[in-house]
Amino acid sequence: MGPEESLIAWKTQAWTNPQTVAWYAQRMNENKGTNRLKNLVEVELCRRCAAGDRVLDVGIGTGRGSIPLLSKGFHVTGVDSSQAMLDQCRREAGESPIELLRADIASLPFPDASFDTLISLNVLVHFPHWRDVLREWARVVRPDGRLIFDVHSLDHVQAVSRAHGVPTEELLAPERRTELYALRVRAEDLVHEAEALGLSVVAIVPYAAVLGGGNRNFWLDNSRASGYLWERLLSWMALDEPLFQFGRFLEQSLFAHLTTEATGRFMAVLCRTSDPAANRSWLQRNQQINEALAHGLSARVLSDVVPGDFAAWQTELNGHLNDRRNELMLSFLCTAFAPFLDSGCGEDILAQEHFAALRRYVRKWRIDGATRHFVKSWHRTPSVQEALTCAGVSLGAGLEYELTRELLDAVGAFDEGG
Amino acid sequence: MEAIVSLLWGKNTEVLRHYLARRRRIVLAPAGFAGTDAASARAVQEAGGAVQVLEHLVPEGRLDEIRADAARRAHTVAQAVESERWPEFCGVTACSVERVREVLTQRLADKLLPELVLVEALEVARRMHAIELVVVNEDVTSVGKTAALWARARKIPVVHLAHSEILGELYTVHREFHADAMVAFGPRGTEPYRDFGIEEQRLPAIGNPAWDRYDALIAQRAALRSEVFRQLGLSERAPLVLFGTTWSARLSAHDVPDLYERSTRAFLMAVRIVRAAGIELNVVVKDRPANASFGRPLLDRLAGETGIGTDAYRYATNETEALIVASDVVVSADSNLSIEAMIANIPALNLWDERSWTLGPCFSADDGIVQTTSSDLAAAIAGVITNPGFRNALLAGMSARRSRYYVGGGAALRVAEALIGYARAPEPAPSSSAPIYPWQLLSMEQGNDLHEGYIDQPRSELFALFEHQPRCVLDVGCFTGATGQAIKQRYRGAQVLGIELNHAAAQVAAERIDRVFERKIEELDFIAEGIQPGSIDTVILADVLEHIYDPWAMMLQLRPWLTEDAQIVASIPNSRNLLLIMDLVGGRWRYEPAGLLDVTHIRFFTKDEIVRFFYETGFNVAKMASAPDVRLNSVVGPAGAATDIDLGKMVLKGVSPEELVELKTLQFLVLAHPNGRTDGSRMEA
Repeated sequence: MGPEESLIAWKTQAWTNPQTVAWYAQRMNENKGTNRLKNLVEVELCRRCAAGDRVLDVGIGTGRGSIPLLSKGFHVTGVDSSQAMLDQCRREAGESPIELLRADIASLPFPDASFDTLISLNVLVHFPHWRDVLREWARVVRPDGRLIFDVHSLDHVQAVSRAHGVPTEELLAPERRTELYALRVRAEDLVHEAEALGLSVVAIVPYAAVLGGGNRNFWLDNSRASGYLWERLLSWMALDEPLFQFGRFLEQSLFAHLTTEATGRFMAVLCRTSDPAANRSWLQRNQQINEALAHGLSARVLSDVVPGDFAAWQTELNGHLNDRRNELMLSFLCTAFAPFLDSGCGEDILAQEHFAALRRYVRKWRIDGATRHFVKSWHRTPSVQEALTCAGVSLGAGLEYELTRELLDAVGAFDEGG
Repeated sequence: MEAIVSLLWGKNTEVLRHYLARRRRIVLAPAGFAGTDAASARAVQEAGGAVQVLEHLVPEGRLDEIRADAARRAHTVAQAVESERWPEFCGVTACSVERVREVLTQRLADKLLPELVLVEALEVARRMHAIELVVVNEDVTSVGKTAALWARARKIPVVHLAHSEILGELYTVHREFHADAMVAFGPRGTEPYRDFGIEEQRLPAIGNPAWDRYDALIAQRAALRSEVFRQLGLSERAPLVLFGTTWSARLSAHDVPDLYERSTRAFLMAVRIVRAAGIELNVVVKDRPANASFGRPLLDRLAGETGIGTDAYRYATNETEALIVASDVVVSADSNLSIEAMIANIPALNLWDERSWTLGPCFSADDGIVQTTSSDLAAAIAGVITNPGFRNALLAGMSARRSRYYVGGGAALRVAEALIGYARAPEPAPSSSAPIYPWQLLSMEQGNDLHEGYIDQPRSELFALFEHQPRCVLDVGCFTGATGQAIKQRYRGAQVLGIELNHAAAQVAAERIDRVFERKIEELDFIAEGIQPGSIDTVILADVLEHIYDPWAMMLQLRPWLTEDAQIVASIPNSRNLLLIMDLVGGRWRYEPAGLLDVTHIRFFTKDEIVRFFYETGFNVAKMASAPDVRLNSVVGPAGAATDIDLGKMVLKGVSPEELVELKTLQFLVLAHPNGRTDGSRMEA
């Protein structure tokens, strides 16, 4: 068995143990951290983009993607490689009729064109042989039917790699471990593959900008919106309704309209109709938005990509920011994009007081960073270092604590309020 | 002698105790740290260790030189920074170059002094002792960081034992990691360090020794509560709300200087509202001891302003653990107090202030700690007190997360064992020369090694015998000069001369006292060395006489150089020690590497023989004190009456209380004066 085959086998058999499945089911239902937000974003996309009423859910798991569709009148068939998952799904579905059977995702036991819509949530992300799988999925969907599935974005990692000057391979090193494997696809490759299979793009929707956990947003590396600290903040979405609603706004009303470079994950919505022109124009538009975003977010760029009344959108955003915790969450995010903020980016989008608060926050964040760097570096110039070394020990290092306080006072860091 | 350098705080004395109980070591600690105050020094001694105050290793005379050195260094720095412009820092902070220069150079010599003294003390210590470990309670302020950096430079293992759990981001000064490892209180405490890129293996989460008290306190919660209520004059009918004040460290630009006042006011306002709703409350405000001077008046002012009245709360600065265990709800702002409440199973409310999340939220939503703003604090307090369902849900939530923060009692032992694991393995002695029998020590090469049984500590118990200020002191067998150094520190202007054959010790002593002679006293030419007859007014004979073949001759030889009122202070092992007698009665007379039967002892004295020894050589014993043998602490006789002591094969009959003291003595401390006769004539019967 080659490495790819063993990875596929590993991922396929990962969920055969009933106890593991019970744990998974509980995790899916639990309102913990950003669980609810992720679920809401994914399930709403499925419901909104599904065509017809015959739905196939591939890798149905406990049914979180398609059980909500049952009440909307969809007829759902679910397949999974794990009988334990299917049993759990049956329990979760209760009285609602749902057809469930065991099958491999790349070998579906259905005639061609059996379904109006195929959905598959958090499944393809586990498998390297996505092209084979996609061919099989396309086979069972009727012409003009839909395929809805998510993958991780390679565009995202490559864009961050370019912007931060860190090689892609280095960024992706953690995902090279089998248990953390994540399929990453470039939008362009996906569109080309789709075209080869006679599919066309309906939408490619970026998401998971602020979901944390396994959904790493590489733009946020080394900013205050990273690590355990950021996870702690995101955890409050479970209890803090305004924070949850703001997270929802960011996902559904902001990032969803940006590109596959913006977030680490996207939902692909494909149509079982060949339409090379549509594919070409989607790629073009994606490219245009990327170019516009390279200069930061402005009202002009945003009003182009956000559908509907932009003024209403702005009002909604500023409404969210009236809550101090939301404002702080955005401040954390802004520490990843500080240079944009300097160039006035966001000024024409945000209400004056919120823009000032963000600027103030980032300024303080920078003062902290600059002070830390300064107290460590000033005594390392040769002449000072020599005067401040005793028995091989740096006396300058010992001065840093007190100097930090004195410098912060001297630069007036405390004069401006929170 | 093997040693550890400890910058642990008093609250971690238990860790030292456990360490020393497993490994007898010298503890080198700067003044003010664990082991240097009376209580913790006793704990260290009881565990078999000994404390050496690091600063005392620096000779008095060196201090002025170090001060001059600090001034020189400060001057060089001031000149060097004249040409610097620091565009990046000045750009970001919009601060003028002149102002930055002023901050860098102001009081620089003063700031450098403690660092220089510490480094010097550590260097002296390293020459005297085999230092196996440096342990600090923080490695960011000037002293803690310097000690940690020194350890790294000398390749000595260094461990940082957290003094509190950092809950937010490691901002500015905390973004450091100098130790080989940092002991965190629980897994949660490792998160900020892992965010900072420190590997998990360097962050053992094995507990906070200062929290070891909780098990016992919780076990007697009811009694403790009554006691706390009684002491603070609280009403037994009403629940106790404990508020922990907070403060601004001013180490981040996000700090708000008025946080202390702002959060305290918010709490007092909430108290007023809850009371106005007819809910009775006992309120205790727990302040940091360092705040007491301004905290109390400030609280009284705020109490007046918020209208709750100054008699409506109690103010406390210590016994935090007892207060927490006795309370019904704990309110604090981003504080370790919430964790302690979690340990004690008391609901915790975290007061959320605009500043709170600026350095990252301290708690997660699922920690079971209620996050309240100033406007909903009153409702939260009332809810915890009046709604058992809410209270129980909170306790269940906290309980589910407790192990993230707290890994159980008994941390002092775990930490001590971990420290032993980090300590440098002692250099193995070559097996051919490792002594099996004490007498083998006699033929081993000696005299150049400091790591033998002697302890580098002043024998200050002898000072109590002084009858006049020592002016010119001869310390016979001065070892590293610790006693002489202490004399010079205590008695201004005293001159100390020492005699020491151990070369390494003599070298250390030479830096501490005025002169050291590396020769036998009988070979010392006093006149050639410029010592005038009748000039020495104090002689120290600490554990010396028993090692000399002819101590009588030495006393006669000394006599001409002494003043008429000279004070001779000596410590001499007691051969009429009850344990020694018991062993002898049982047929045992076993030479040991140390102790009463130290194999290097060649003369033996009883109390009676000591008096005779001095008298016969021209001295009178003026005072005699007893250093008790702690192994005999349990032997007690009836008050004021004679008793029999049964030694098995032999009974000592009619032992008087005074005699019992003598039998329980390990060493006699003696003061003698010249008795005016110089001929060594016979003692009258």
